[in-house]
Amino acid sequence: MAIRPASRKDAQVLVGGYDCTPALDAVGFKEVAGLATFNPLGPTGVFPVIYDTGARSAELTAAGLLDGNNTTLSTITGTSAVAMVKFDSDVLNRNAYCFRSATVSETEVLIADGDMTRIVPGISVSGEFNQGYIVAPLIARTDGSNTDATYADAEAATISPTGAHAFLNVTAIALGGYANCLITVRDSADGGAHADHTAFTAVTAIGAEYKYMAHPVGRYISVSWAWVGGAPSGGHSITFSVAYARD
Amino acid sequence: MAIVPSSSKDVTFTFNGTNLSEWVTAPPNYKLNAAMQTWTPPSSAFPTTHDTGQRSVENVQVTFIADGAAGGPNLKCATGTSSTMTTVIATGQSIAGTFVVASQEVQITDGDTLLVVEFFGSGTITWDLAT
Repeated sequence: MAIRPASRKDAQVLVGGYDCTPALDAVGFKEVAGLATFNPLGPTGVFPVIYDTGARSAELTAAGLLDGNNTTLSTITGTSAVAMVKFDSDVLNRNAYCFRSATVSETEVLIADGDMTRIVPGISVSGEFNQGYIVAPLIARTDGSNTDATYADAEAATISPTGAHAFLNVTAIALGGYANCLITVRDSADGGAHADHTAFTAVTAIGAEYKYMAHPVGRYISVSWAWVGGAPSGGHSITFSVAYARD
Repeated sequence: MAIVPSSSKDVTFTFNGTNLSEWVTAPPNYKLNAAMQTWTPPSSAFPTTHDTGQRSVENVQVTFIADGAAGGPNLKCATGTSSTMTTVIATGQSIAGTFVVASQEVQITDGDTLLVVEFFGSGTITWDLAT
């Protein structure tokens, strides 16, 4: 099987509705398993035995230019945000590393003679992290529709045995007179007809959200977006990305 | 959305009522920390992190061309001086607060004599990096 390496050109970093990608030149992710080392007595104790406690922790790091247009990573607000990091291109079915609650807990501004001003944020991750799939790449969408014909395939059981997790980042929206835009995660057990499963909170501004999808959740995942209410005057558009991960 | 970067040419450094930029050879770097409480409940695989609301700024070090003139860094940054430090990163972006001069160090080099000053932040630091 041919390998599919990725490089910096394939990375995308979305935090709290902001596309931080253009101002970053480094991003890193690390997931750590809590392991316990046990050295049994007796003949079986020649080598230590490693047990997985089940505990997990995740680290997210980034560095880049100070961007006056986007202070998401350069300012401590105390507010947590949904973060989505893609290392393998922003393409349907590719991996997305998703954080339900990422908080900038330290921020370093580096001024160097003759150089651009840089930032190095420290990001604290609270709660669970999910390695998921891209269901909807980050692109601008206009009239309401869905991605049923280009669904994401989680390559798991036809029906998820438990629940699932959905992550949304909206980086731009022009209501064009509408009251809001409703983005809904849809599923299908067999790749045939899709149905609405879980809706995000109606969108009126840029932002990000995490939603838990209760069991049962079909294998094939798509999204829909619909413009709601108001007095439409044209020019409506929404730029968003959705990622999904099973329990 | 286009990014709005900046560079060292956009930076000014003011302390004790004086713009000391022309003496600065190594600009200050700033690091702001939020005190986070992290714990892992027994039923959870992942830790929970909570922002306590406490903030701190790390010590700031600035290197100047040593100059003993009345408006120069040697006197304006005398050890023990407590005053407002404002670093303008770029138009509309600044970091400011009260800082105390914790130490002065004179470095005699093959070039100009240098003055390395360490500042400790005291109280609220205003962090405004949005244009």
